[in-house]
Amino acid sequence: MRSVMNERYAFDRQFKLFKGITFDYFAKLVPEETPAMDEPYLVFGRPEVLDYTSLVEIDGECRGCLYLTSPVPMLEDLLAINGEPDVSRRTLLDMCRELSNVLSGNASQAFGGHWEISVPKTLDAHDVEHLNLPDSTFVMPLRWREQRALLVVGLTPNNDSTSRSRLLGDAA
Amino acid sequence: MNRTAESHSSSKAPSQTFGEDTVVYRLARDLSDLPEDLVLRNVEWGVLLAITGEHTAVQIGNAFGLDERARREVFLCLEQHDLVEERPLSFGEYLRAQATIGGQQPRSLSSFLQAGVTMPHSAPKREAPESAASEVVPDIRETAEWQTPTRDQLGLPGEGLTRPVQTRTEQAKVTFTPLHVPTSEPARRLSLKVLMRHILDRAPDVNSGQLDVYRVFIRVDTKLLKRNGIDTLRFEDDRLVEDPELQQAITRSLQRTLGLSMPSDVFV
Amino acid sequence: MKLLIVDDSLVVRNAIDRAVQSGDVHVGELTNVHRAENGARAVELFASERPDMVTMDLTMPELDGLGAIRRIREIEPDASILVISALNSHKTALEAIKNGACGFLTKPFTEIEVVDALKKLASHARLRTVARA
Repeated sequence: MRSVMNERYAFDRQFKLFKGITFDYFAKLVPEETPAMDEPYLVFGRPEVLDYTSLVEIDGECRGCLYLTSPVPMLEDLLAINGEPDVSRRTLLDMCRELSNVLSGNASQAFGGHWEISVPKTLDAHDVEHLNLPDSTFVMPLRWREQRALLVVGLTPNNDSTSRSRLLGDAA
Repeated sequence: MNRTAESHSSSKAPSQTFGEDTVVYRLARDLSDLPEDLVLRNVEWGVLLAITGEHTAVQIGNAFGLDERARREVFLCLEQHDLVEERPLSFGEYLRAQATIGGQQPRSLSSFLQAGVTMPHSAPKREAPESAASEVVPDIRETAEWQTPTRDQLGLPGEGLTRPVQTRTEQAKVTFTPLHVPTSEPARRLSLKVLMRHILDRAPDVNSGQLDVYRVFIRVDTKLLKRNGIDTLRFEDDRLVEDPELQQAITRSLQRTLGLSMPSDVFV
Repeated sequence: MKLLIVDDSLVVRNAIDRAVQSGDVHVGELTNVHRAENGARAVELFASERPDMVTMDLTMPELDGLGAIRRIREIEPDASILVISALNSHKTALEAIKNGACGFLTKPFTEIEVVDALKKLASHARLRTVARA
């Protein structure tokens, strides 16, 4: 029972933290336009990804990954807020990487030594095809300025006897 | 003369015949050697403790009032936990096992024995249901992996099996007990909405409850979910799961993840 | 005055650059703005250009922000450095200050926030210059 409670506690903490970090980011950027969250849902099999994805891999009491996947218009809005007129692939990826940094950096700080948080990866839809993402994911749709991004968490308890291989090893 | 028909090998991997009518189970490990963290439903504990290696799955299932689906679920679970294994049957035992199942149609002893001998090897052929409520005889030929007994082993004449079989009472002492003919019940379906409501209701807040649901489904094979058309799951979705294997997988995960037994009202 | 902007994000470097150069605000009397995309390049540029102020990201490839601050402090013990980071915790801020940063700003930032922070940093730089004189 103790491990059940520990697992629950770890999951709760993880999800709420990541959700909080993401929402705080948008809220701070444009305080008068805070994001809203639609009803979350579960996806089995290939997880949903949009145009650009910022992803971190997590290993500790649970293992898996967390990513924020965003449509181009949302990233363009973020670039505009940052005063960036260039909306090339380079700057879209750069904006996405900043989101990754926020997620991974703050998650690392909050979880301390018991967790390994990978260097954030920034991926476009093509790159994501080559990743071995978790089979079951918890998807939190985030609405901001009429756009819909997805904060996705794919974790498995680390005490399972199933494969302990890294979930996100590049297929290649 | 050895007339036993040593049957299928007992492999370690769960057989595909879990709870099949004529299968006789024995304990795969000593009851004093059970893992400390083993969690089973009441009915699974009951069946486990009732296994002596002397009764068919259907006899045990009947004793617990289980229908075919429930019985298979229970034995699948016990096999998956490596708690039980199939016991090879002698020819005589197989015939007796056959006597515990089957339709209501009266038949002669020779036709009964012939059916018993030939069933494992002849082409798949299910008995036609005698009525809407009659039982379909399980097709054990596809799964039981019987070794073909030689005519010599069976003490049969060299001609075709259509001839009446000589009864060898010292091996196959057939006793006719009243057959239990279970009525056909509609398959139990597991309502995911009701199950999710249970999980959400016991959580301290909505987010935690949703995560609890997620944690339960993390441990369910996604292939099994997808096979049942479940690619996504929203918390208000009213999905009904008919597949007993998926029901079993969800039940096990619920026990393992949240330490909960499957509430009875999730079945519709 | 000279400013060195250190951040691995082009978007962030551009944003800080635009903020300090916009017509509405004046951060001291900026004459030059240099930019570096990682800690190692920042140390090189600091050694060659001797900027009066530095904005420093923490999470960067090659040499991270704290490492770069330590190296810069070896070159110039009184360097005026403002950390601008996504890492939003007291622990990180204290670590940065302990290593020689003069201020800490969290991302995402608004133009006003970065300009205000740089104005304070400019005051620090001027004081340092006066003290030297």
